[in-house]
Amino acid sequence: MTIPVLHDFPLDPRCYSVRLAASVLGYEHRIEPVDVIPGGAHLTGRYRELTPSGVLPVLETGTAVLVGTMAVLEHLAAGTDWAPTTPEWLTFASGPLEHVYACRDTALYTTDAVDTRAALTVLQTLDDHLALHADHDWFTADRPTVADLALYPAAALSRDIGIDHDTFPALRRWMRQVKHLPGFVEMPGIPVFP
Amino acid sequence: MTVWLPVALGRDIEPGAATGTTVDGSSVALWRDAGGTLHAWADRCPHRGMRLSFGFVRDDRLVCLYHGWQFDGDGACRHVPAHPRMEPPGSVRPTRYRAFERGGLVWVSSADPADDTELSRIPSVATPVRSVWIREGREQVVDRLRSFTEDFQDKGTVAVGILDGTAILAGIQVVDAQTTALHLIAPGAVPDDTVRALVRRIHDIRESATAFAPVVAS
Repeated sequence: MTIPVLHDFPLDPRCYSVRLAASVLGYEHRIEPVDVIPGGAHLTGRYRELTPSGVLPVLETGTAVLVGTMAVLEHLAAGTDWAPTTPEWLTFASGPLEHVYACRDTALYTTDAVDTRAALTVLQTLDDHLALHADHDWFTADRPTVADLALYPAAALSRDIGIDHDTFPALRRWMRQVKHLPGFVEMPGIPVFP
Repeated sequence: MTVWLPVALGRDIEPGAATGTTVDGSSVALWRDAGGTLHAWADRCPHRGMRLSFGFVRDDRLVCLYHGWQFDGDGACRHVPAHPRMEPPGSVRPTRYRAFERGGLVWVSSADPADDTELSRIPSVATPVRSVWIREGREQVVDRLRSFTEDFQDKGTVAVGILDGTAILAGIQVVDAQTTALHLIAPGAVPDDTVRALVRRIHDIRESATAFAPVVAS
């Protein structure tokens, strides 16, 4: 049997949520690191065919090629307890959450000033949702789903754009729970300690 | 005069957690050890000045994220990973504040000894609701809360009143000249539905002050 291949840029939060999900779900795979920065390898060679838009991560299952975080997460979770009970937080992760990642990319890879207002609103929206649904420990259910793992990197890396966790108590609590999931793995910028 | 300042809801700092706050303009690390005791220390590792609130808790010790120095509940340095056989000197000790929990609120005082009579007026049994941070000065936030609340009384570090028919008490924390935190509790045992309605309401009050940038898909 072919072992699925995950094409991955280690510093990218979108790739990280998939690495995290694959680990937590116990999905057997092999990681193929891609030199996105500074190499630009995702725009060359066989990636021009695999992911013409340059989007990572890409999962080659042996029978299918899945491009982008949400496609891979939905594939991993399909038919398991990790499938979200409602779609809106995966949608949120592929939409507004990009404000946080765009700010982080600007902060890490350019010398431009970073406008974090939209990113702050995004994190406040997450914190407010958890606070309003305190009867649920997780975003879409009383159990963790891939929606939690899709949202987690933006919250956990917010200090990279100067947004601390001090004013997001519900988010803090949830982030600690994510870190306690069996199979949790870290990425650069997210210490493994809870 | 000694003032106890409300800085958090106790339930928001669970055992093993650390976070940062501000007391009298100084950065303070709040952390709760595995045994449930809450600690408030100057948010600065005595070694290299790293924020201790970035650190992590191991049993009864707070561990600095930077070089792993471990401090026990009394602030004594107990372990330096780079020199595992060294006895850490007793002078290596973060500044500690007095911390106290009552009514579901965490109170911190920078004075020693602090006067407890003010705290005795806080209800001992209360339901935690929600902390919000509002980008306005204290007077504006108090006026805002007053406009939403009946029988409103500003008592200094707390305000009390009736919000949507439920008695509330808000701990008022001046974070800086432009930021005020409200730590909301409801005296007594309050049903979950009522708490959720109050959470929504305090969010509304915060939103009424803050011109948030619209969230749109990029």
